[in-house]
Amino acid sequence: MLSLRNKPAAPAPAPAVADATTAPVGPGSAAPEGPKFPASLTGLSITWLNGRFAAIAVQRGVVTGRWVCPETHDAASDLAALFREAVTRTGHQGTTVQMVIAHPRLNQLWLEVPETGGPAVQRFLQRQAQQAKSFEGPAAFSSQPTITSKANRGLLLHLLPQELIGQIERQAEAAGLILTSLLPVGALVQRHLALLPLDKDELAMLAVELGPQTVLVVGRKNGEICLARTLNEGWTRNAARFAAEVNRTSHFVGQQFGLNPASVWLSGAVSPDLLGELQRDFPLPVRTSPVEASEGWWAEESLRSPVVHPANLVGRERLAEPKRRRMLLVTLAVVALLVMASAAVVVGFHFLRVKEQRSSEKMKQSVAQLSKRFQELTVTQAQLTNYQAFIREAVDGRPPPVPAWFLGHLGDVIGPELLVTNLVVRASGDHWRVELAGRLPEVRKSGDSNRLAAALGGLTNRLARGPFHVRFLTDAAPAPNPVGALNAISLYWIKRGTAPGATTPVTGDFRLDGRFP
Amino acid sequence: MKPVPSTSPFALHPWVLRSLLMVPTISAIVLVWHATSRLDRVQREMAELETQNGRLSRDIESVEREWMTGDIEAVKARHDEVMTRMRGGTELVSLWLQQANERASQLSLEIVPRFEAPMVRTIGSTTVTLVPATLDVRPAAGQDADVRPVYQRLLDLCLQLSTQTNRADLMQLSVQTGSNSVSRATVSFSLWTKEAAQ
Repeated sequence: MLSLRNKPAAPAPAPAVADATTAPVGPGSAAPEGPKFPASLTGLSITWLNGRFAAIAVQRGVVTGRWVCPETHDAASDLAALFREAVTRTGHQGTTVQMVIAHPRLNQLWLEVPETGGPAVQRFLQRQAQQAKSFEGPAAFSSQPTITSKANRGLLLHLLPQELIGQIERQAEAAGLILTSLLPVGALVQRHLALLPLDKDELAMLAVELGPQTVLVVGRKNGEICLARTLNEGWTRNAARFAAEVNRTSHFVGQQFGLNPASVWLSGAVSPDLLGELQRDFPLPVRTSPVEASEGWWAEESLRSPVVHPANLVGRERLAEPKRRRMLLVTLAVVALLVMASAAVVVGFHFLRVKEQRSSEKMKQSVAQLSKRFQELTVTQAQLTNYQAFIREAVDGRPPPVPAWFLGHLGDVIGPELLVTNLVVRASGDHWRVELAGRLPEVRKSGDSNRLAAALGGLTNRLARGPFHVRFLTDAAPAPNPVGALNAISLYWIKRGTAPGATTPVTGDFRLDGRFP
Repeated sequence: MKPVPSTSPFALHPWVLRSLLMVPTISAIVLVWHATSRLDRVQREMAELETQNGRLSRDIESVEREWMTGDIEAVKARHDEVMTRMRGGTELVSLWLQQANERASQLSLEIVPRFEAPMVRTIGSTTVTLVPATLDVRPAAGQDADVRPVYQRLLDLCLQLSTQTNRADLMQLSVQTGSNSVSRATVSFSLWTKEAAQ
């Protein structure tokens, strides 16, 4: 690795403004007839070149104002007031500002790094930047690629104190601006290089004198550079020293890149005598640049440069802050809307719930009343059912005097030859049981059992018809049994087929058992 | 243009900022969810109450349709009438016995009453006492007030005693005859009373 490093130099008094077009002008004297900008371009560009402060504002591609501060301001603490005045004088309407800086503490470092990138290279660059810095405190740096060297990839680091960048950002914020770009002036010299009348692959050295410093860039017309240096010498003050630094740089480029610059171009005030003197010290042809690089030119070129320029010293985090702020505002608005909508929904649901609860309370009362009414009705219904059952049983279910009716009916249907000695009619469950005993006196005398059978058959047949429909039992066993508790007479039972349930004793006695519903 | 304060919320750490934004977002979602669930609970309760109310209304209407007010009053009045007519046990037994004696005397019959232990019977919600009463009936000796056959007089006695206002169910009739007519009969009744007889 080989590095070229500049020692910080004390700020020198700013030279007089050579370009008449960059003379202080107010908003009223803005010069909109400058170089054309894209129609979408809006911004404020400020140059702070070794204390010289200038600004240009563009609104939708049209320059709305230019301003060059007549005094020099070396202290960063003055920037807030200068920013405010620049906004006022240029009529800038936006909130962002881009800045080009040339500062005594700004220096460059050229490094060879491996082709592979990644965090390791970043850590390496960080370490090298902190080691190579020529000022107190941590260094912030940006890097831009250079023409590939013999072996490795080349990177040009622009170093500036972190504290100074933070101070510039805070000053911009204090003026209501957001610093989106802080470009070292060396990064813009390559744009100057592109304007020179060079051949396609011609390597040239361009020196731009900015007050006490000179920015020296070695590169091609297409923007590719090998090196950029900030020299604390200029041809105006010490031409010999300047020539020595240029020659040294030329040798370095030849060693590192294997390339040899074909010409040296000077941008700034150069008298013909001085040009001749310098030509004697250089082995290369020395020419003056046709581009008038005033403060206004740097500011305009800054506006034309992309904000994401690799040499931009404002960190990506800082660049993303406006977008992040917009996103945050949108997010806050969405969250606020969500919260408000949520609150509205909650309040609406609350009132709806209160209304539903009131209805629910009324409904509960109604249900309670209906339940009570239903219970009363159920009790009444059960009571009435019981009453009905009782009435049905006690009044409607009163049984007729069936035994008396049967006794009366028996008197009608019994023949005169039969003598009934015992009659029992009693309730037995859901039917009536009848026991009938008696005798046929004539049969006892004659022993004619057929006569008894005929008489009993007639009786049973008549009883089997209406109204009682008596069914006589036929399975009575022939045994001498008393007829109920009331019958003291012993009877012999003989099963006979003349009538169902009829039994005829040999003695002429009979007994009938039957039932009817 | 206002200067941007250096301590603006945009300077917060992204994770802190995200956390701060998540708090109201999550709170809003939780609140809405909470309010929704509470409302849903109340609405479900309301729906259940409406269902219950409808079911009760239908049941009540059904019962009321089944039991018209007039029907209810009629049944109650009928029950009250029956219960009013139904006498107490002792009173009924005495009255019934008195009437039996009167009827038997008119029919020239002698009766010997016999009462058994009363039985309690519950019909629906009403409890009644059934008193088994048995009459041993014989023709009265030396009395000629009624010249009809004993058989006829016995029938009359049974019919008169079983068709009185107070319910007396004729449960059994046993008749024993001699050579010509009824010599003896046993008639069993079941007397309905409000309470047990002594």
